[in-house]
Amino acid sequence: MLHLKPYNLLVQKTLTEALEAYNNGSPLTLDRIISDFDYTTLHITNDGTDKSNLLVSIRTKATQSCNESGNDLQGFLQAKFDEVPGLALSSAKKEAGYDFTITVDLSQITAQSIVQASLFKILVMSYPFYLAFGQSNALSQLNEIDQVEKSKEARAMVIKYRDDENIYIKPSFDRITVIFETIFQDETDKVFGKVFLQEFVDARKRNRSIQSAPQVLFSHEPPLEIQEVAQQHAHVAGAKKSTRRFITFVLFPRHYSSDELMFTSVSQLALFRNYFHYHIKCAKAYMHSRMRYRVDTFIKVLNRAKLDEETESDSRRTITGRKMVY
Amino acid sequence: MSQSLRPYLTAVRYSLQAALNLSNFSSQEVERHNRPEVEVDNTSAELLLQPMHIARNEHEQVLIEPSVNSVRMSIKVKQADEIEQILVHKFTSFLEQRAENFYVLRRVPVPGYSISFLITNKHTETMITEKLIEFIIDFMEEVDKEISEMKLFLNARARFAAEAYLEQFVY
Amino acid sequence: MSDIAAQFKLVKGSIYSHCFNQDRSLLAITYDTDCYVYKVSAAKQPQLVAVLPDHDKTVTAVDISVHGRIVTCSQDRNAIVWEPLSNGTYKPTLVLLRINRAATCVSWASSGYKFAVGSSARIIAVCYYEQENDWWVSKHIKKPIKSTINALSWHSNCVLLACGGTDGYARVFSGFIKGLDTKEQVAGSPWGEKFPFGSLVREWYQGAWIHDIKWRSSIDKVAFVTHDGSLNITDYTDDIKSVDNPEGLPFITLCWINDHEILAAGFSNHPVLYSEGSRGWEVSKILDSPVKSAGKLVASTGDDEEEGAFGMSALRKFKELDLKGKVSQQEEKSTHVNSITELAAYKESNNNVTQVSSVGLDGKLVIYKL
Repeated sequence: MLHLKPYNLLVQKTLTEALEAYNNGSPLTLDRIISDFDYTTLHITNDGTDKSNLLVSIRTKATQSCNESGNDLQGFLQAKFDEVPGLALSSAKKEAGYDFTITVDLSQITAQSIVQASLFKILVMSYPFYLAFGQSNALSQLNEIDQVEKSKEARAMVIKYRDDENIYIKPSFDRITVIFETIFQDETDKVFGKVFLQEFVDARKRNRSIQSAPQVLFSHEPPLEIQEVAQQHAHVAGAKKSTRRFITFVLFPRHYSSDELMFTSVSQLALFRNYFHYHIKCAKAYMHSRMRYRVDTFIKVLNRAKLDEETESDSRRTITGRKMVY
Repeated sequence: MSQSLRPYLTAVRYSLQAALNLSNFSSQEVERHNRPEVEVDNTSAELLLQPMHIARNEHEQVLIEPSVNSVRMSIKVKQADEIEQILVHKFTSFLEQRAENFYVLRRVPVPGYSISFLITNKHTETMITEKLIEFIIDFMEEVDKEISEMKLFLNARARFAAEAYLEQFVY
Repeated sequence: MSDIAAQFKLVKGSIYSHCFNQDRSLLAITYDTDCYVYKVSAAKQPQLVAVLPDHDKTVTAVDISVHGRIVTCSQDRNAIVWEPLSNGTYKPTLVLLRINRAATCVSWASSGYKFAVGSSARIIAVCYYEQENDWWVSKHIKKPIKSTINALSWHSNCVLLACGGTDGYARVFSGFIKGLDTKEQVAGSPWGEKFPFGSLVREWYQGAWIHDIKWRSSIDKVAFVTHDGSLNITDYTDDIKSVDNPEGLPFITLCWINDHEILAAGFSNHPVLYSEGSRGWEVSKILDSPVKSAGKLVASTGDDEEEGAFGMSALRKFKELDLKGKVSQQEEKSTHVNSITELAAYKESNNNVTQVSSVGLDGKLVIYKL
């Protein structure tokens, strides 16, 4: 399994089951809590006694900062869900303890709607990205001098999706800079991480087919673009400063030139941190199983050194004196 | 096998053959005790033989400390950069946790070295000395190979993961 | 092989010491904390007749006197004299050694009335029977011994005692016991005039640990083997002659064959015969050494009888693959698969030893023909 999929498999499965059951005439009673990466919980329940309606609620850590970066997170989500039949974001039916709730009308939804519903978390996190795309496009319309001026003034948006780990997005007239701030728990993770990051940086040059991919950079210190913003958060990190790493992706206009591309870029970026740490853990697990295999081979060699046990007196005999083959 | 490895391993093999002539020796200091003299601090000087250092270069060496009833052998494995240091450390602690299965492995390496073996007269009485030496030589070869393989693998995996990820952005 | 007269696997462990009695009908070996006594009959597997279990720790040495008494000494600081009773069992008598460390070696004098015990306490205890109190008492030789004594040997005059240890010195002491020995025994000895008990008669510094030392009384020579792989022969003129092991590994034990030949064995698993010729002491024969011939398959050796002519059973083959990762080759090996710990003269004729018995860490008894 190489890639992490942006949609939540459990949500998809649940909704598909519910749809099938509804179509078969025996709608299910649901009350499931599903978790996702980055402290995200989803809750799927029936809408009161009406079995043909389901409620899907989400709570993420990122909601607050996404809200702050723009004016209308709610409206944005509403528009997204209105694109597909059967889903509607409702503030009236919002469940306590959750950030957003959508109603799912089982009689109307299609397969596409199910996919959209399972993309809930990605949609929430993608709001700042879309704002950035908009800003970047706007900036690129200006004349040259203004472009440079306004780009410097443009504020970087923050998505705080985990403790101490953030994503910073800074739009500019000809690019968008996305900066991940991540923390390594383990000493060994740091070293492995460095190897992986080095590969990310070099992959562009090495492989001709992906030369048009975004540029990647990494460093210990906060990059210049977000110096001021990062200082605000520095006190939070405190003692963990030495384990902080900043990974910068530079997106060029061709990466967000069409709707489809925008969506792909966003979903990949949102999951980048998870992908990265996942592969580090995989590498560690592989090392572990390799070492275990090695240990077995060594023990085999050591066993050769043991003196052969004499089987003469150990071999057992039957009552008539015949020997057991050993 | 690289050119400089062969004479290094031959030197270690012959030194081990000379050192591994152990006898059952009861302690002179404490009555009714029979302990490996090389591991004890206050042992008499005449029971310890001259320690031997065999160095391939300044980063790879072997220390053999013989005595009348035990031999302690410490290996310093080549660790060129950070990633190799971590790999060697992980590998040796993995082995040391399973020291019981290995009989001759010491749970803690001698300070300054990556891993240590302690061979006593009990081991040479129950195991064939030739094969024991072969095991140690084999081990030394394998450790080096294993570390380089793991490092190569790590790099290959990293490259593959990075390329797969970045491909997503290219339409 | 032509060098082997007989071989028997006696126990599944290491044998440190063994001894035959005068007429070679009984064999005593040390095994872990016990001493096993076997009845020996020509060419058949020795049969266990008695187990002498009174020690708590490893028995390091055993010796049988001309009268048939067995003495054993062990790492529990004790020595026990076993008196043979008419019904075949043995009665133990504790010896008052008065040492506070392990006993390492023991040797009866040829008269059978006293024996010497070497120990890790840097003491040699010469023990004799005291009639009044019905026990064995000891007298200590301490100076100038600085470290564990590994080996002892009595001269046939029952007074001169040669010893060697881990301090690198080979020494000759006097073990003269007043009341037991007479001055006539040592009259005319080239080693000196007076021999009070415990006096140092001679001392030679070798440097490496001495594993075994033996007298050749007829020519008043003493030979010892050391951890640096050499065999040394010396006499009262302090003229030490030294020869090295051709394979380099040290010897642990030696045995005089005749006045000019010595058989030595040790960590190389096979004995080496040295002879004194016109050019001094030299290696004359290597017995039972593994011949390195490529591709030679041994159809059946002594302990492979079970497999018969097919070599290895399929079950055994897969078991080995599982445990060891490869199928072991049928190799030519020496009879002893681990070090030889003691050699003793088995058959003699005209002052010449024709067969020598040996025991090793592999639990085997092998008799070599010369």
